[in-house]
Amino acid sequence: MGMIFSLLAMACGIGSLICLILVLIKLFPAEGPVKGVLGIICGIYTFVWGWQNADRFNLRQIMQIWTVVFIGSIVFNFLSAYFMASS
Amino acid sequence: MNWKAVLTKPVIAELIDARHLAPWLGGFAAVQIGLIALGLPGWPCPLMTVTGHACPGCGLTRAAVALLRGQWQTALTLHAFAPIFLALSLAIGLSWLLPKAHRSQLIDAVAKLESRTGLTAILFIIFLLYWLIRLLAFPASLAALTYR
Repeated sequence: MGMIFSLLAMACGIGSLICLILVLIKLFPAEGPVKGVLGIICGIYTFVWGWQNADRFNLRQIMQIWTVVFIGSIVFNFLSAYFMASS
Repeated sequence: MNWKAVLTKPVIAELIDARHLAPWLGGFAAVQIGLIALGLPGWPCPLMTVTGHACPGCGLTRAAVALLRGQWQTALTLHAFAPIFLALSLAIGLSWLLPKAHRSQLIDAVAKLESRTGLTAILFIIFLLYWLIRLLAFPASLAALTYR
């Protein structure tokens, strides 16, 4: 069971990375290279920036997917750790 | 591209000034630090999850938690930028609570410091170099950051 949740967490991680890159592509030209680097270092900044500018840069769908995989990765990581520890 | 303008552009001052952004950033950072402090999995780094390699910011949350617990040595071993990260997070978060006049003074002071010295860009460059050095010369220190 732990393995399944671990794989699901990994799938969410891949989804998260793809969404992060898609938002960074919009963030870099809009905010400049320094904030772009901040976006790479701090995923939370990119996530908040993405929602703040979702309509301006047509990012709403990407942000909705990112939010789902973001929550999924936390939940599946927690479940994976729980089942791995209990087995 | 005018690199001097790019490197001296006030970034932290803009983050403090963005009142709509600060509470969200502060809230997310507080939740992430809280989850890690409770021993629960926080938001895992997407790069680490997919590639197994640490990103430049990997270890910062755990280092910040160690710092808040007064474990300086652990914090600095996990990530040397933890004190700066924590100070900036607190500054951005707390500035939201300041009265308008004091906030404006703070924003002006930070903007002047950034545009005169290029401090933020310099810090970012050192931050990336620190990550590269750890990645190439001390891979074991970054491998220790892996959750599993």
